[in-house]
Amino acid sequence: MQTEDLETRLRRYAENFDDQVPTRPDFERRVMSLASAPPIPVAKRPTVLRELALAAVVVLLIGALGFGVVQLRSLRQTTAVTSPNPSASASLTPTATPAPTLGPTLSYTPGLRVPVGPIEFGSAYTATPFKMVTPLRGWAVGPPGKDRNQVHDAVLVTEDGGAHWRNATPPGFSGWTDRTTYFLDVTHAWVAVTPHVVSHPAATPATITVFRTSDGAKSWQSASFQIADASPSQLDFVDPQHGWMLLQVDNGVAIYRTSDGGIHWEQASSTHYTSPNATAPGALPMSNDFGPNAVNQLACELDPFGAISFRDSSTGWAAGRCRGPAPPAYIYVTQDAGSTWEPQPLSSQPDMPGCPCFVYATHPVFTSSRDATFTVSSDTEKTSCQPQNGGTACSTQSLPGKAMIYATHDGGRTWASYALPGVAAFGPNPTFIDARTGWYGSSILKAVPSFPGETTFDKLYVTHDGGAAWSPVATTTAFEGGTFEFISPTIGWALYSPSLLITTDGGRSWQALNPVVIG
Amino acid sequence: MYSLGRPALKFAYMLVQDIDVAEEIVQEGFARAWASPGTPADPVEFRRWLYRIITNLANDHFRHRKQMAGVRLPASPAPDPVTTLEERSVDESLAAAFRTLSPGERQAIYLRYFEDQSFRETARILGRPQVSIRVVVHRALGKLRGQLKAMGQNQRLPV
Repeated sequence: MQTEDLETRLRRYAENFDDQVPTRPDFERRVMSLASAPPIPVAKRPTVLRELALAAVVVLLIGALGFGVVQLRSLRQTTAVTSPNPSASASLTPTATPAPTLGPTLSYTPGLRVPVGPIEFGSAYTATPFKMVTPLRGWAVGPPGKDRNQVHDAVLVTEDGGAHWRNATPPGFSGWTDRTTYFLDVTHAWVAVTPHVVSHPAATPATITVFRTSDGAKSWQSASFQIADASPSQLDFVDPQHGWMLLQVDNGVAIYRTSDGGIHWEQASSTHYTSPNATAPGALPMSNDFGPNAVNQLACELDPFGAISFRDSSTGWAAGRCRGPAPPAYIYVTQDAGSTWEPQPLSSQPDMPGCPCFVYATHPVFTSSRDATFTVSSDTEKTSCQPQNGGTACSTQSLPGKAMIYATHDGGRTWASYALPGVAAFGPNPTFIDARTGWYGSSILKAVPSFPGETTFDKLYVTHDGGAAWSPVATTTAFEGGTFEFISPTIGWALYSPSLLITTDGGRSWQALNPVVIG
Repeated sequence: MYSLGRPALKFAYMLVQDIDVAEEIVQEGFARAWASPGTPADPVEFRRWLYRIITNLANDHFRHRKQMAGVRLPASPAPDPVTTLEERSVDESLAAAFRTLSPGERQAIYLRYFEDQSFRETARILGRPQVSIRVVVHRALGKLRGQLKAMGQNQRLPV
């Protein structure tokens, strides 16, 4: 077929596309209501004078807290980034040492303004990072911004177990950027962003800016590099120095790495969409053919939104999905820091009846250098085709299959598989605190589904033998599951947007936290 | 606003192929555009800005669906434009071929052929270099052509 013919055919198809999009009578009115409501006060960027005034306030506040003149001079000479927020400033130590890594000094005005008051975590569209590191200290990204008076996706820190949160958004971070975050511990975190570009000059490379903190977001440093046409989709660090970034690039993904904490980045590898079975040796498969007429051929694709995890500075894994008559689990391993990849040998591949099907794998999550788990779940596909207008019309239904967990206790050399309770539901995945103890929110098929295969949360399960056996937790509080974050056998959180719950008895009872932003 | 609501909904619908999600995304896009101090006042720039926000929200939607969602999207032939097309006896093979495109390719194809935007304008809306958009569109056309060939639908069907 000539290109011109296809273009003509596309335009004729486009002419009829309007008829294919359902019409909602109230839609325009609802959209209009967004514009007719009074605008929120515009948060103008601080001027230089304003920044100076804020800096003076910071200095005075610190002075009022009893710091000496010499210490004030020392603070003003430090390269750390300071916050104009009074509560944040009060937590600064006057003897703060210069950041251990190089980078420009920033005037720390949070990149987003978050109104003081109640906050919700989660979003209908954004996977919300939420990580508690100790019973008191943790990180989150929010609020979801469902209301137009709220800002979106600020970086937040808590020091009281999740009840109160401080806006720690690095300067330059915007809710409407492509961005990803990684929280290593209570002090180290990274935020990678691509500026929101409205008028993109032709052939201008994308600028990736990586913010990093090593003092719990009391200060941020930044480093930028340029790459042709990319946006960050995942960060992963194994220590304060060694990290990786997954980027969506033109026609594929690229993996970058740093060995100096995020200042300098180099490409470790890249993979592009290819025809099935055309993957170069050492590269990650990225098939471009998941069409309905190709269900009986094997096609595998790296998950471009969150596929990689590393155990140490050299060994890591990449995960994705495969489809076909008997698809394997997409799990690849690298021993050279992400340069080359090979299939991870597994003692058993997932046994998925009823294929052709999709098999989804998640990247391993390590609780020690030896212990890790990843999950594999499946969808069974049922495709029916029939002749229509001289062609073939196909429709496909996906029904949830099984969910399994793979566990290693030798650093990833061997993996044992166990069945997870319930049906596969794309997560949330099991969360472990060590080699033996973990929790999992199972799913079941909905009794009255709105579409075939709809699932809903069923029960909270716990394992004490590394995932081989799961028993339901006798919960005394009705709750709807969510993303679980446990840090000890008793203390954990459940994020089920918009609710944030905490347990101190291993999941038997849950209390709502009603988190608020304090500034 | 009235003139942009429907086009924005169609754009989002092409990306996520679910009318409820598309509607949420468009409303969220307008809300973000309205709330942002950096939103351009010029109508042309505003449209670019809005479409870029919708693109980001659609990407977030796919990210969320892949990573964390406990919700399973309706399987076709639910409210899927492809299936709808099949029912209405339109160019069903072309609609089916669209399924093989990546989200980025769908965005580019939609703006280029459904809204008849220039490569330059498509690049500006998607925030990507013009040369990349040309590559993406060229590759997407190649994929569509390959899919149609595989389906034995090289010849144009009656519309």
